[in-house]
Amino acid sequence: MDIIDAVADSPQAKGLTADRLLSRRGAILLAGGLGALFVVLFAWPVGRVLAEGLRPAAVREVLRDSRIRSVAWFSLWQAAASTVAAVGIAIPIAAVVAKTEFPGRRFTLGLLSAPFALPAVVVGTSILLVSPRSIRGTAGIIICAHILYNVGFVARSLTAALEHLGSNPFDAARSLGATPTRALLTVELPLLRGTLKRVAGVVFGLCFASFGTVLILGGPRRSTLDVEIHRQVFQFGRLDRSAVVAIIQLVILTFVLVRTQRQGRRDDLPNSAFRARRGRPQTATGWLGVISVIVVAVAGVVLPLAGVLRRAFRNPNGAIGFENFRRLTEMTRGSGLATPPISALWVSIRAAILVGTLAILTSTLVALVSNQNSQRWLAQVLTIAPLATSPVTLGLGVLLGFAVSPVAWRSSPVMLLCIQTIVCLPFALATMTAASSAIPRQYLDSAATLGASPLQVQRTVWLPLLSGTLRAASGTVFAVALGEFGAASILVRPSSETLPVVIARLATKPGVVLTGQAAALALLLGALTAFATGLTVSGRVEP
Amino acid sequence: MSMSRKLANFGERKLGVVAILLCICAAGVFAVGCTSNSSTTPKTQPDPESGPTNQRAEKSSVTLLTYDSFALTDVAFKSFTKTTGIAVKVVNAGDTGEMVNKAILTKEAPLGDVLWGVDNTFLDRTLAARLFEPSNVVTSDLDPAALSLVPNGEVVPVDVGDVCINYDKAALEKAGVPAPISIADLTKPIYKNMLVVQNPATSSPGLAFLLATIADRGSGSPWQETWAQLKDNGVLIVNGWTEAYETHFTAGGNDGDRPLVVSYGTSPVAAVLFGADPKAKTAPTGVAAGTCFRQVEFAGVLRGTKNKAAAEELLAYLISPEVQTDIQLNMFVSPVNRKATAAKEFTLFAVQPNKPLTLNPNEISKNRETWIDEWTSLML
Repeated sequence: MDIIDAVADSPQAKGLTADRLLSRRGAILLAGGLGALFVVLFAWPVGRVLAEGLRPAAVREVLRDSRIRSVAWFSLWQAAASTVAAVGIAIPIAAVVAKTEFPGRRFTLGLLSAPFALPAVVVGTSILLVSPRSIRGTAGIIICAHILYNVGFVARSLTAALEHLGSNPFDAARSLGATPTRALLTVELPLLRGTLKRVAGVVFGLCFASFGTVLILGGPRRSTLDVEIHRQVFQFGRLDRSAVVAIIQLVILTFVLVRTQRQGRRDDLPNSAFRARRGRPQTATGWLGVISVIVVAVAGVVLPLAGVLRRAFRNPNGAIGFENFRRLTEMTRGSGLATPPISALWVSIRAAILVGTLAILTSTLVALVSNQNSQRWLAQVLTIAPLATSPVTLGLGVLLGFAVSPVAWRSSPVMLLCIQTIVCLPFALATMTAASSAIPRQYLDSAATLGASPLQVQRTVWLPLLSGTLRAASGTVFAVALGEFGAASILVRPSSETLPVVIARLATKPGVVLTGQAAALALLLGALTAFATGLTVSGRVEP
Repeated sequence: MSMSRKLANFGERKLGVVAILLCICAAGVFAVGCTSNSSTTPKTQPDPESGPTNQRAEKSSVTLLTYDSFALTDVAFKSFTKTTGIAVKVVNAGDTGEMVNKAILTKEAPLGDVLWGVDNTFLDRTLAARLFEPSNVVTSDLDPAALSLVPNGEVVPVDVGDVCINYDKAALEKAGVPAPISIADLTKPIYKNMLVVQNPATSSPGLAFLLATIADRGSGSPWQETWAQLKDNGVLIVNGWTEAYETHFTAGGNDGDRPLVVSYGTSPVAAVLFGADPKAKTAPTGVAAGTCFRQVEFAGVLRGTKNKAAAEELLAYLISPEVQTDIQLNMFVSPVNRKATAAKEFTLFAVQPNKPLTLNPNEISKNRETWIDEWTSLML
């Protein structure tokens, strides 16, 4: 067994396997093409941001600006507070969900993670609609929104890690006389340090570079660096200062992600042979824990989302009905929209289909190339780079990098679709490359030994084995593309605005007619995203 | 080279070809998707053989790029289309500042043919960006004072307004305080927590009011001090006019709690027309005449338009007495065309100060950013 594994892992064996799918020349050609695409659509715009933002004059001006300093400080501390709070709330939830069996356990966990799967604009709008006017634009409401957005993600990751850890450490601590809480805090959590760090790093990154939520909830007083990039562009027309802000954000974000993600990987846990056993809670305290988790899930997630539902079906005159939906087909005075709001739905669906198709196509090609050992960097770069760069920064890069002829493409709708493809790519790639490298090499070897050409191996073995993953990835990418807001808010043309852009516009305008329309559209976007995510779940193949 | 190897290589190349074809297809789909909007316009053009009644139907179309709050009577553009055969599409691009910046950032592929609504505070930036193409419209009927702001004729003035503090008469009476007259009045403790203003970074009246405080020498102290006092006096800052007036102003119709708001000298007209009694003899709101700052808005033909003739026709229409009369009760701004008919409600309720606060446009364009930055660090 060991020998077979060793042979299979040897470089020769890998090279051999790679030949089954692509010849060396084909792989180099394909990798070259994809690399060129990456250079044009990612490296060039980001490079232009760096070039523009590293000019001493602009840097000095920004560093002297006390407001930008306070925005940077706010981005940092609200992200830290949101992360601590989200993790703090998620730990007891994960402990209860991982260790006890109760009716609706999986549903509760799914409910908690629902906001994470929804577009930030939908979560931001729902919080805006249920919150009293007096707390809008405060740090508190932004942190609350970030907690709501991330707590499910943290709880889900920690639950999986606790289950992965098995019941041994916990049982040992208990038999030595520790209370369950003590066993969790002093034995299990220290063992999960690596996972905690990784998850907290992701949450911090998401909150630090939060755009849609803060744009909607922040009002004139509160903004993150990402919102500031947008502000500098559209309120002051200052691309140079905007680039400096983008670089500050990029540096901090990269630092945090590198620190948390790389070091976290080292202390991965060995897979426990003993899966944690879940039992019904035995004590009153146990039941109290279960009830608290359910209450938190309902109060935190259901109430805001129900608020949107209620607002969407409450007519401007106060009665229940479909008036808000009917009005989506009309132009409303003061909405500032060039077309009836409903047209954004078609714009978004069309764009999401195009972006999704392109992203899936690209990720399939990347997965194909990445089977080749030497080209693995491509998948890694294409996955990590767009995640560390905010879509707003990428949009700014397009404004800077595609301004003058012969590449004066910055106001072309095609450019937005391409950039959205880059933004969505990591979500498809993560699953595709993982699934592709998980395909047992023997399958490909056997097919090739029986005389199949690389193309035949691709078509008859490789692709069919990936079909489930492809479907899942399509759902994810479609959902992400539908909710993409950062790049769109920079690059979209006013006559063809996408759903998230229109929702953010309407939600922040006063008047019951416009907020009603915003609620109706947010509901539609949420439903579409849920539908796409449903595809993901049904398409996931369990090995 | 063995046969199978050749086949394999062929498969290899074929994959590359397939990938390239797919990319081309995708690009094609994009292109179709992107142009489908513009391609719908020719489709709506009538068949030339369908009869003489359609002879004057749409021969072309122009796009008017403007701010969110742009409004004309519904039939205004229909009658223009009827007489000229040119269809008009209106595209809104946020508030004035956002619209101007979007127009500059997209000037290689303009968002429209004509832009309405750049004001005297943003004018210099658009001229520096060479956003407009000089047009040959007749401007002899327009207000010479407004025309003198653009000696080279890149744009034409389209309306004039004054940004002033408005007050809710009933709310002030209930609070037992007199109406404010000057900017210095607003810093008095009797007006504590009463004023709502707009963020000058995001709102055109907000910027105008900031400029008013800078232009105002009556208080005798630097404007930063005035604002520090306003802050101590509980001024509320919001992003836009609509939010300030309709949400927070006591007379804005939505249970607001601020009886003083930055709005326009013509707002009392709207307060009467949209108020409880459109036939009222007096307006429910008043204007503090000593706080007014003059705003002039301009329109022009965007450089790079594909249809300059039609764009100029639209521009000429926008300064015609017909539209200039229409803007009064739709956008509550005063006409610049002296042949426009003054609306009766304007003469009754609007306040047009003889000596509004003003600043030299050059001074504004030189300092606007510094002022806004300074204001932002001070107030937000």
